[in-house]
Amino acid sequence: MKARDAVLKLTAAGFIAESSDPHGTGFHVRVILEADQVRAFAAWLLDEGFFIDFVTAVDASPACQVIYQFAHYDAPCRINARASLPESGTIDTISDIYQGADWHERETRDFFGVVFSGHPNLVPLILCDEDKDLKPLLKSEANRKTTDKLGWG
Amino acid sequence: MKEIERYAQYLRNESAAGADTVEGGGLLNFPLTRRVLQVCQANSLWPMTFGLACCAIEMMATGMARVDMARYGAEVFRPSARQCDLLIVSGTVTKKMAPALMTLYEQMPAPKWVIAMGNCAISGGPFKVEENYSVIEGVDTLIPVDIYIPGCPPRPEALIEGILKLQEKIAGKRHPWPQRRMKKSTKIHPID
Repeated sequence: MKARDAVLKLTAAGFIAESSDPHGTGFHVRVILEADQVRAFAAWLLDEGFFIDFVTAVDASPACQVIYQFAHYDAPCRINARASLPESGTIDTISDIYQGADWHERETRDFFGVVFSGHPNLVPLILCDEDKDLKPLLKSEANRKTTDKLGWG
Repeated sequence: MKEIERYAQYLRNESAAGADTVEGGGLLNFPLTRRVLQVCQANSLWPMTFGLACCAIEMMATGMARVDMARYGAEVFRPSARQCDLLIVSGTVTKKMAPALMTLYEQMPAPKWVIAMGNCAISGGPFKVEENYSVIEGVDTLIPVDIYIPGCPPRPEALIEGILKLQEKIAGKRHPWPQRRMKKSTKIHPID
């Protein structure tokens, strides 16, 4: 029930949301965000009682996709949102809304080079200091797939 | 990382020049005293809690009831490096962990021994691939290792065998006094 309500409420709040088969994809709602909608989205979810699951990224073409996943304690509703990274390589942080995103954003910066503007402490979390610009999970031009081929589910 | 490599090279030079990390000093250098000390050291190795990854589980199992390290005197795990003489590197050492490993090795007073447990500590193990960007391929590139225990992870019995081999290395013979070998006909546990 909550998943269908969530899609309607999200669309009413101005985000592009569609429902998704949880058995096939693992989540109930898929949201596509603009980079400047990320903070409004996180604030809306915090109001509705969602908690953050993870923040990560996928190096696709034409742009890196930053992935957020949220879930709900009381009702089975898992929301997967993705935002295209702008050319500046910077996206807003949500770590003041969801403190749990703090370390996830540090890890995403370590592995993909995504800079989260407004983050209080964007130092390497997993990589050592001399490897902080290594960005090991970025793909070469040949290996990068386009977003529609990625099979988001 | 540069300081780490410089210190590792210094350790290599020291051991190449024949420096002893295990001899006592001038007063204790009589053969009989040395033999007594070696027997004491072999029979009461104090390992450090240095479980980094999956091999740590096997090390814990070796300290537990079924396979028991206390039989050989090596059950006293101490978290402080200054109270230990055995460093069992059990698990993957990443570049981020290397300075901590070197600091702890430096803090251990001589005589000290190192066991590299598991494939990651011996050579980087399953992470020794071309794309590796963060795993140290073998802890013996950093510190001198006495015993290597292969396995991924090695069984607890293999760790016991490594400790017995280390006791042999220290005291000159396997099962130094006062350990007693079980008779071959005993079927309780396969470790002799």
